[in-house]
Amino acid sequence: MMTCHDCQELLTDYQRGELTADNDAALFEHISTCPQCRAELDGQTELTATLRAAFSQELDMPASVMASVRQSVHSERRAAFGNALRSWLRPVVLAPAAAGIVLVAGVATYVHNGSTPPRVSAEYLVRQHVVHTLNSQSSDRAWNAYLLTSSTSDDANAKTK
Amino acid sequence: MTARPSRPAEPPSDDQNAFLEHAMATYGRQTYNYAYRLAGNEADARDLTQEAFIRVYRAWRSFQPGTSFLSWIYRIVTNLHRDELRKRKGVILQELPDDNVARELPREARQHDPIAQIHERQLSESVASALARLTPDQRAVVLLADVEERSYQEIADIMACSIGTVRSRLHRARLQLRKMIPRARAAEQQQGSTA
Ligand SMILES: [Zn+2]
Repeated sequence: MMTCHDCQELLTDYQRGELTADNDAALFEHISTCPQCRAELDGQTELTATLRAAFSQELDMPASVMASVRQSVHSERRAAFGNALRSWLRPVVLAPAAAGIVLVAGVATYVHNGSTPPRVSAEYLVRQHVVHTLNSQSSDRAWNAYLLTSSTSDDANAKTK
Repeated sequence: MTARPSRPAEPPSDDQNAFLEHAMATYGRQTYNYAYRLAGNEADARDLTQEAFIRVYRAWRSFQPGTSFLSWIYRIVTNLHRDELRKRKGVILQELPDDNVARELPREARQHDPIAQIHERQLSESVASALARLTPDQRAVVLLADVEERSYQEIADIMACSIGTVRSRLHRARLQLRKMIPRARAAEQQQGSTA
């Protein structure tokens, strides 16, 4: 049997249709025999109706809101573009010098190695493999994870031997 | 003059703009109405809605397709409103204990609270002044539950709290409103008869 206290704890949920079927049925039964709880339910229903009536008017969003959003977003984009432009202009002075150094170094390496194709280090291949298999966002994190797990498994292997 | 390499392209933001425009066209009205109900006046509703869509623009990538956009922007509006009230002085933010219902706000606080300054043409004075006495979170829960007709789960998502918290906030808010609205109505009538 549901008490009035239990009933009133659940009345809001009942009125909103958020009770389980069992509780809903028990509450329905209690209310049909208890005038006090029935009055409490009516009070809550009346409040909901009052609130809905008070807010029944739907307003249109003023066009000025959209205009302000667009304007604000536009000036943000311009500021971002300005920053991007500035950071792009800064290295322009150094870029030719850096490119020259890289070019000289590259030619020297190529001449020195003769016809041998550039070699890729084994560590690089392993690292790339680890990055792809561990599906981590940072290759260093993946690399560290690889180092940790491989050393652990080495220990495990050592123990089993 | 040496020829410069071509200028860097403007960051690709066509998708971002399209996202914003679609969001405003589809959800602008509902967002504005929710903001208006929460703030209680059109000036604050405009500011809240505007700021919310700017946040949407900035954070558009964090929106997860398949989830409710409306819940997302309602959460943004609810948080902005709470932060705004926190900034204004004299507004009570702590939830009142169950037994302390008829607590009066200081006069200055009422003057700062937009709900207290609501226009009668939109919302009856008694409902407005009763809502003004709720905490921002209680007010949001009541509006979402009773006016916007959202489920407990949706409200919990919007307010980033548990369903239990939603239930207890709604329960307390309704208790307060049922005491405050008739009281405010009586005061209103008394004023009307003396005027
Ligand atoms: Zn009962």
